[in-house]
Amino acid sequence: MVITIENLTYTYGVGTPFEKVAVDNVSLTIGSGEMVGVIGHTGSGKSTLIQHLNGLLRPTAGRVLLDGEDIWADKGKLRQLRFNVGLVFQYPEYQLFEETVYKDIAFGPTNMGLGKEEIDRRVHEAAEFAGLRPELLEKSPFELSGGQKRRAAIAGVIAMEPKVLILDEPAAGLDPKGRAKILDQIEAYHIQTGNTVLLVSHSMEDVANYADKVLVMNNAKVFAYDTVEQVFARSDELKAIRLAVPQVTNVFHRLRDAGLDVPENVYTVGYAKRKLLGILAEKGVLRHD
Amino acid sequence: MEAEKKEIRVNDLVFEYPGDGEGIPGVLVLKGMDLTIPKGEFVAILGHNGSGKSTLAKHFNAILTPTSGEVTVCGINTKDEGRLFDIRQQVGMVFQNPDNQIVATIVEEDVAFALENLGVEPAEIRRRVDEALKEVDMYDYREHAPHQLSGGQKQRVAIAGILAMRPDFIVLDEPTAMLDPKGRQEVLKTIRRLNKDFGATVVLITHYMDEAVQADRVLVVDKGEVLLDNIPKAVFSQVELLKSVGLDVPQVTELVYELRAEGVPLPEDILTEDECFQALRDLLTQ
Amino acid sequence: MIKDITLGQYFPGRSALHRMDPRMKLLLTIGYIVMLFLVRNPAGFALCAVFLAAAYLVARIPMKMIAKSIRPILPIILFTGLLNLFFIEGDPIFSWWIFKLTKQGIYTSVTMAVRIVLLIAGSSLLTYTTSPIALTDAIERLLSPLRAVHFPAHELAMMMSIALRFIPTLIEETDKIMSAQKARGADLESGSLLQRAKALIPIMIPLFISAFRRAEELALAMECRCYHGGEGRTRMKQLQFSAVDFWAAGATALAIAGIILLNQFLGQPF
Repeated sequence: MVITIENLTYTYGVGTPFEKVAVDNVSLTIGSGEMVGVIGHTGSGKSTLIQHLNGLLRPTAGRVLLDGEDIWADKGKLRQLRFNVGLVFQYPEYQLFEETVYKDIAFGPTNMGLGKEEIDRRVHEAAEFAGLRPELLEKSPFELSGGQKRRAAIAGVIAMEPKVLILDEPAAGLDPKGRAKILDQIEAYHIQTGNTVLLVSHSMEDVANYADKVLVMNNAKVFAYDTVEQVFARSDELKAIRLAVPQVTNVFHRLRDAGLDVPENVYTVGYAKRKLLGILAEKGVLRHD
Repeated sequence: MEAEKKEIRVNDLVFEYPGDGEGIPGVLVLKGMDLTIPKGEFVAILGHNGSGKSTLAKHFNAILTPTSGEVTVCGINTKDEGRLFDIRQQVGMVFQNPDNQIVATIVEEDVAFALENLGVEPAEIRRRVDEALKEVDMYDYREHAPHQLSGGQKQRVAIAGILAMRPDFIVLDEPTAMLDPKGRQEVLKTIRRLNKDFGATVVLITHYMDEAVQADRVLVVDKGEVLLDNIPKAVFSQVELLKSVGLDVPQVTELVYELRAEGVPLPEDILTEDECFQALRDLLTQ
Repeated sequence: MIKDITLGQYFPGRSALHRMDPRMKLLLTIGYIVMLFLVRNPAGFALCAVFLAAAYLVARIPMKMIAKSIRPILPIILFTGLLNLFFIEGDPIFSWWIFKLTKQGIYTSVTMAVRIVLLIAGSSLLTYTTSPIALTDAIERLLSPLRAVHFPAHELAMMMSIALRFIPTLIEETDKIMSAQKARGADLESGSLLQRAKALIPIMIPLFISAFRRAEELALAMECRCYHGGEGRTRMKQLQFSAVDFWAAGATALAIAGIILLNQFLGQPF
């Protein structure tokens, strides 16, 4: 499913003293099956932008098109749209309400009016995508650990089988193990389903590790939208708008500034290691066995 | 006043959440911990969720008391209920969610809360509230309502509310877990300044490695026991061990560790971007 | 959006009325209400209206705010007015079936309406010029002598102020939960009344759970800051009566005296 955003502007509190432009004339296209990281400060407009993609917010001006169709053309189709574009909010575990994890995951599919068997299939599949063991399905969601609750809530959106999955900081507040687990599950989901995934994150490291493309929002506008390599190559500009780039990116930029011939698009530890080993082997510092 | 040393002392601390005596068994959370936190230190306590680090922290100001063993604050046993307010005043506690620890509808009223509870004179409260707000750099916001503030600002107000009590120890239980990077930076800067400029003892419970790196000492807690207790450089050189208990190391430390594993001659105690940059530059310009 | 609902209609300002001690404002508002019920004749109502208008002028609150505060209770005023109009016994001017329009009826229904309008406008002035927290404070302090008979004045005030503190937080939270459930296809806008009530479950349950969690965490944080009830508690901000308060008290006393005099000399029309 191709998402096209055309000249989208959204203003909060029109006509009040608190009027504020949250998204300012943004245009971009997200291709089918892409994994896009979305970064930006709090208040940069990224959360407002993603809430437009499933029609929770209506543009003040401009349009959002899914596969070429304006989502606001027919209001009656809005609910259908929400099943196609799944949105997982920050701290989604706060939306759990059912007696069992199973019923909670089934909430979305039930709202879609699906049959019992189809719902059952989807619940089990979604639970698996989210890394929840089947025996957890009969438990109360409130008995789960923090990380499990988060994954149950994500499963509740996956179970609608949306063509586009948007996650607003899915790993916020979790410990390193919990973070890695959730992000790995999302990556696996992306690879297996081939669906478009938007990953909103404050962590440049996470975006670098998991996304193919990065959308950087700043002051309600698109600051950069390109492949991970291209965006991190502009790390000086990212730092100028006070976004924290990964440590290794910083180190490599400083090495370049010191006149050393190292690549400028380094953003993961694995890549940094391979590049350095190559350079060192060339220099003869390191003997290859 | 006691001639006791200003320190938190933990002796063979065991804590078990009691079962219901029937079906549900008790849960042994802390399995015999020993440690001392002397005045003036900046200690980070690391551990994954469920490692027991928060349970440990709750023993420092007598929210929880040991099943066996003992915890003393400046010589006062935390089981001494008559001294409860002395202990809570000595050991201030800041929690994860800034929204859920602000009581009043105006910033300065909230900072005054503890002092009002302690029955301090109004003029003295005013003086200490202003001082505390200045220390966390929130004085200009003293008449704001909490919901008008950002997460980082709210958390600094919560810290000011503790500072106003003039505690010897400030325990912060994952104070940055719910904040954005800017808020995290603000709070961390505040914490460091309290320790360096005002000599406050800081116990920072966290799972962010870059925060722990800035401490004088790092305690790693796993399965209710103290796994490591050392200076950051020594702790973070144990990359494998940390990963095995669900923790991480800073990117630069990991990079250097990986390179060393391939036989690259680099020092093993690299923790910061600066150190990594210098080591790599030296290596590449040889 | 729910966020747009403003709670507590406080208009910050620096007028004499804003600067008054909230305790005095509360007491004088009560005095004003008593005055309204002492009134026996149209001249008395005129005096009350002049008194109130003067207070609005001093507070620099625009008179159109009166209309705004009356609007929500307009149906009640009209309803009681109509009842009085037709069901008060007296000298009939006009009658039809069981309805009788009497002079007394007209008088009572008009004065009743005027009384309610003046009452609402007066008490609104209190909330317009006093922040909810100052009001809570005033209530606590005025009720504190009752502690001797075990009246929980402090606890009551603490509950009110915590409620005030968490209303914006919970409103924001409700908004978030609603969006999250809508994103899962929850339909909150259509269906029968019963269906809509059922649709609220996915919102109410998470909201309650969250409120309980917050309450628990807040209680812990309060304990950590040595909270142990009102016993031995001091306050940073001391309330003190100043010259403004005494002038206001004097003015109100004069107005009440005026009403009593008017009652003495003019009596009641009916």
